[in-house]
Amino acid sequence: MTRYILGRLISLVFVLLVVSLIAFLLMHAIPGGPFDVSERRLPEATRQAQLRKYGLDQPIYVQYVKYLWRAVHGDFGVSFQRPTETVLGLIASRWPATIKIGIPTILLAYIVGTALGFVAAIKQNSWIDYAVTTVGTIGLTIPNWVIATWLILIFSIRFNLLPSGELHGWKHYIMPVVAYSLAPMALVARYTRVCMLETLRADYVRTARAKGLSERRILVWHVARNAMIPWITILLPEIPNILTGSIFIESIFRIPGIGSYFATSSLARDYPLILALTLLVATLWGLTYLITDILYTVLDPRIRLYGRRAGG
Amino acid sequence: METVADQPRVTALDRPRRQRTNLELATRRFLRQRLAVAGLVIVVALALVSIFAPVVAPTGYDEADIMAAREFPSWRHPFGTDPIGRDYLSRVIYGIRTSFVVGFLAVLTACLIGVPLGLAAGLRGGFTDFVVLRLVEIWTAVPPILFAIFLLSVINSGILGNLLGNSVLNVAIVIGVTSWVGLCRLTRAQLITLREHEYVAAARSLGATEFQIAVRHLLPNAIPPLIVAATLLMPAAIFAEAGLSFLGLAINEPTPSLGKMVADSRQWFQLYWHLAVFPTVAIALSVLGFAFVGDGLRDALDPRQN
Repeated sequence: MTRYILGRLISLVFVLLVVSLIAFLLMHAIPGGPFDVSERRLPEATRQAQLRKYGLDQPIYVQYVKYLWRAVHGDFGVSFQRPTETVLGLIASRWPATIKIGIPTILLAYIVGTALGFVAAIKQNSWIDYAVTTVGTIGLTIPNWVIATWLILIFSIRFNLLPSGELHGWKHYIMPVVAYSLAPMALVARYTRVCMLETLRADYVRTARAKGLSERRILVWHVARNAMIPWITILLPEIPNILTGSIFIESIFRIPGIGSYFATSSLARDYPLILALTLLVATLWGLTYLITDILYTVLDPRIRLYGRRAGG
Repeated sequence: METVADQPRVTALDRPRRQRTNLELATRRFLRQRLAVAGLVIVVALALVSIFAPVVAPTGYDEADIMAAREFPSWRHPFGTDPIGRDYLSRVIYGIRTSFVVGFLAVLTACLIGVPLGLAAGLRGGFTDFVVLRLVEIWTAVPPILFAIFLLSVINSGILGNLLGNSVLNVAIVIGVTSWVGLCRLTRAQLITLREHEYVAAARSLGATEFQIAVRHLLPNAIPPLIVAATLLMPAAIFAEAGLSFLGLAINEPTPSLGKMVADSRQWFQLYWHLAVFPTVAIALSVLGFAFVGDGLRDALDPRQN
């Protein structure tokens, strides 16, 4: 197992290399550079000086190799938008706020979503099932910033119960977390329901019933455990999405997170920041897939990881 | 051996009964779903309102009366007025119109890219299939909203020239370009199953060309799921336009956009709640209407799913 994980981590490094190369090439292939964005057009001499300062006048492969060399040493460069801050410093100062919203969001979405999907599947075609399905569609189609706006109008402005911005006490977390978690919660509920329904029809469930096991034991040991396998494939990859923040939620609730950087960095052609964020996302995805594969073997002993001998 | 009990069944079979067409059956299945019908009513109502916006709206979308700025809803202005005194009901109506136009054009763009690519991949297989699949993979890897932001930034920075000159068209095409992947995969998957059917072999042996087979035989059979997918792209496109406009990247003033109106309302909504309520409700109704219709169509056109 340790060997398998090590192998996967090494391959993750290669994935990051490829991702950084693609991102690098794409950034330079797209017309426009960081110093000719329309709102701050610079005199040509200044522009050239800026390009030289950041090494952007060199051939792309030189730039890329230099970037990699520095990145390996933990230097991801300086943000073009805020030349006084390093990219790492910028991310380190803003990501905690995103994570502080992200983790409760994940907990709420996955726990409540799973419970709703579970109940809907067990009581298929009952009013609970219809309610969960309908609420699921609503959660997935209405933008989270619309829901956030309604929450603020009701709880913050009309009844003055909850603060609507920044993160100071626990009360500040309620509205952003609820608004942010509705869409993933709906997704989780929907897939839990489908996975459960499929497993409920399996032969081994009928066998378990025929053996005379209690319904509770069947649901927990036979159905839920097997329904978890497709559930994990589809739903774990949502986690990196949540952890990288939402530009909408962060802007509505004035949360100083990294969500907005994804948009602003590409708008401003902030090459170092774009690259660092891309690598961050790729790392999160890689780790999520690794965890997914490990969880597989725990839930389904039939699945063997690569590089392990059969029966070992 | 014939018994008396068998008799009525035989006559019942002999009695001429009109065969229901697939379309009739699908319509019945659709109308049986309450949510789908509600969605259809919403969509038709909003579509009519946006088509006849110049007739329905009390004023034009850009007629400001600065003396009547930020009024609360009243008989004269049912949705109130905005910070520079434009009738908010008219703004919302034209905003719905913008959403629908962008949504429709975006879905059209996505169909025009996704369906031909899917057809090519599904029919030709081999290298074409390989290239299309890699393209699909690349597109899937990038989050659509970020991709759209990026494309819009390229367009807006004026480097490509103001390519289309019209922010509504720009946004629609950008959203279409970022969302054709699903349609492409669906078309390809459909064709791969359909092309193994006997009637394709029959058509081929009669001398039909590949193009004829694709257009006359395969595409019509692949259409029902494509209609469902295209319908479900509508709410996604409206969602995307509203989001991009909310971030101030899509539709420019004075053209009203519901997303932009919500964003602009934020500095006022401590006091002027109506500025936030009406556009958000309009967005919610538009996306939900199409989503319910799409789900209903799926159940009606694809009975195998049940």
